[in-house]
Amino acid sequence: MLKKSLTLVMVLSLGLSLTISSGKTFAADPKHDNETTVFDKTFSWQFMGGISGVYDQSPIKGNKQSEFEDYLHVSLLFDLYYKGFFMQSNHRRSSAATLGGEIGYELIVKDSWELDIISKTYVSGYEPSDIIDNNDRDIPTLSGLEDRDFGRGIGLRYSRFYQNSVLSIDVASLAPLSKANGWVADVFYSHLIPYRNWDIYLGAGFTYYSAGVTDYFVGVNQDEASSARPIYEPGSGYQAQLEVFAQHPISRNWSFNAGITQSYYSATINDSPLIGKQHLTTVMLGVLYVF
Amino acid sequence: MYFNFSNGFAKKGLAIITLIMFLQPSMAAELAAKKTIELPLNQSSFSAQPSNCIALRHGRTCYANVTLSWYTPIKEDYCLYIKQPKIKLIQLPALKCWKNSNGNQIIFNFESDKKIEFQLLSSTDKRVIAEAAVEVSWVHKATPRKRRWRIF
Repeated sequence: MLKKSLTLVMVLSLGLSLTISSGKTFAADPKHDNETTVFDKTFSWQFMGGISGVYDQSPIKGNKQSEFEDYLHVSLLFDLYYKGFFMQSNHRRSSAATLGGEIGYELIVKDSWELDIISKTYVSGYEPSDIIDNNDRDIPTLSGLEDRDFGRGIGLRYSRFYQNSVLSIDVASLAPLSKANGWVADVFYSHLIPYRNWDIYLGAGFTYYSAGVTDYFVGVNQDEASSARPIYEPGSGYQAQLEVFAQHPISRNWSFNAGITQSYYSATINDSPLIGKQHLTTVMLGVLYVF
Repeated sequence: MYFNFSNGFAKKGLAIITLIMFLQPSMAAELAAKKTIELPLNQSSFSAQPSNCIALRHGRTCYANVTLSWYTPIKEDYCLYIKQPKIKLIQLPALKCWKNSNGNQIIFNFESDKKIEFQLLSSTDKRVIAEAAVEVSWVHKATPRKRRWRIF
């Protein structure tokens, strides 16, 4: 069933991509002569603010959006590039706290590919007591469970640049910087379809989590086990995502953004007693101000 | 680097500030502004609206349907051209010509990554009666290497 859904969405995405891109083949995503992020160039920065409404399903059992604030995301984004060092925000993501921030250094920069050393948060953490407070009711599977801290990792990113697409592959260890004693491999492919002043991005991602990572985030150890929460050791797992993101200018500083993501998880993650939703749909509508 | 506001009060405050910035009169005016160059000698007018085409990223082609409107006090034959300094106007095809008219407008399908200037000329003596222009600007002025991010 999952395989069929994935195939269908991918075929539809490819079809849409070919249909729209066949109309115009120029002026898509040009490589700039004066790219400001490459290490032989000097300092550059960009500061942005975003506000968005988000329908965000949580995989954690019993965790639902209820308050107005849960649907509203306000964020400040800051990018800085200096001689190969970079600190950049996720321009799409307007939630999930530190999942957006990346710090790194460009080790090798070629016209069509790049290798970076990078540090970022690969898995968002959660605080069971906060989730129970926010939902105003007891959630037996979370009650008394220890906090799961953010899964920050350090690793290498290989990026391959095509005319309108970017493929990036991260391999990172979470052990040095987080409590999750494992590693992740993350592949993301994004294809831009420009249509007049619209940018439409089709994306597909696949993240592999080693057993140490899934054990920490969705596993239940002996000390945490209860009648509602049996011991669970998931082993390695994965997340697959498909997304569509669209952006349109409103004025010199403002742009409108909209996106939808469908996430699928491996059975090892879905079978955890902490997990309530197996496949997640997330929708975002917002505006971004570029200073 | 990224900052997210989980506090409800802070969220509301920032949302209000954002809304105020969004509704700035100068910004609204920017969208509606006409770029009109009036030549006082003959009291002609010529405008392009919108006068500013906005694309997302630096260097990208901008698309807009631009309304070019003109008026002159004297009925005559006029033609509308795109101004290209290095090419003699006579070599260029006119966008549109009018016979015995003193005012009119057309919709121009703007597709460019640079400013385009328009000229209204008298067909009889090729005299420039009035000029108007459409500028191109971008929301993201920086030119970083391509980066892509997941939404969630």
